[in-house]
Amino acid sequence: MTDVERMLEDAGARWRAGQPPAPTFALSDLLVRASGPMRQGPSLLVGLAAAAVVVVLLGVFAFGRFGSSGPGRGSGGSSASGPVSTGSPPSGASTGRSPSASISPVPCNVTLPKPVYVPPKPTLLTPPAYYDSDWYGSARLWTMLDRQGESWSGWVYPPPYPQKTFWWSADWNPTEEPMPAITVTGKRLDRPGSFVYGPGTNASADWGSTAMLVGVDFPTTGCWELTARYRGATLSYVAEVADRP
Amino acid sequence: MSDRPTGRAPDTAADFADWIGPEVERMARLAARLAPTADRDDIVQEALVRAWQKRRQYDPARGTPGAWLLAITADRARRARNRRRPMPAPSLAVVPGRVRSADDRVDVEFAVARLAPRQRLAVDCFYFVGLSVAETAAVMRCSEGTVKSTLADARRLLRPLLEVPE
Repeated sequence: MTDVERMLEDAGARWRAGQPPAPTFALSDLLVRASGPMRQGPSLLVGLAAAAVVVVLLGVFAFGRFGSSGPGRGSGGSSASGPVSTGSPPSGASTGRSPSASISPVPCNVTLPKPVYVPPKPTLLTPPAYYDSDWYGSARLWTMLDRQGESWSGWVYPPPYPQKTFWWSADWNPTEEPMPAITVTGKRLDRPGSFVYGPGTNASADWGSTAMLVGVDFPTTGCWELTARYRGATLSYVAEVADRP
Repeated sequence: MSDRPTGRAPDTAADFADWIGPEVERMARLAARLAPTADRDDIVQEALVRAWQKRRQYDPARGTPGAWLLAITADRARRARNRRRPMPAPSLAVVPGRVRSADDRVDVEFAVARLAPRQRLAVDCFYFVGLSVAETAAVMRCSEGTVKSTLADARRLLRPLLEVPE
């Protein structure tokens, strides 16, 4: 065995030894749940299709006809700002966000990375293309936002919903401050709710950059404003925490 | 795993759970290694559900159940890594530039991070997760010979990074 092989073997053994125990699942229950729609597929699909037809027909009767534009799509107990009705697609609404994906009573106006921030070198001028994101903020504090805004969903476990937030600053030196004194507060905009987390730790991005990382737990779904504070700089954005995509 | 019966995948949830149970630990290690910032248990759970849904596609002639499950886990880990914020483990402080650490492990991790993606994948699977060459080949979707040559290339490139004399 060469020295390199030995170092790799040792590093691998130590890494494995440091891993937490294997997850414990109720495997049978998990698989039964996962196979539920398969086993009940035809009848469930028929039921869903029938329900969809009923809803559409009710929409037709309630709103007159498909494709009607102008006011009037919100009625029958739902406000104009409520979930999109199946009876009439909203005209001109192109946010790309499905209000029905959240329990928020009003649509969540997530922050778009506008204006786009161009950070100082050595950070990339724009995030790698596969992130479909842009920088947002200033040299004192910036982050990366999805071009459609941040919307987090697909939670497997019940709340709180964990999410990692990443921040960069020209004032931060990861070697001198591996645990940056950054805080992230969350304020729910559509209902009462708040949290604060910090300090951060450091994370190395796949393109070589190092970011400040603050893990937060959202207690509920909804429309949340996140505000990071680091060395006197403040940066906020609004993100949607949805229960399903 | 290699000495276990390798017939078709069981078709009942209880039997299938017994069939995959011994592999969960290695699936978890692979998930943790390939997608360090994602939730390891989420990946394993997704992989188990995926395997269950595709159980009829398992072909014992093409490999062991372990290799099949690990390949599915690797696929789910890739998806998790690319889905959102594919940042490496926050617990490991890796900063640009050559850092000599008191802990050799950090140096090895740093050097491995500099390998090409396929070389890094081979090293991660073989040395860190502890897979066999055949299982590594299943994860990498290549032949065992390719795994061996990729590992040899990786070791050659790691030698100067680890400051090991020729």
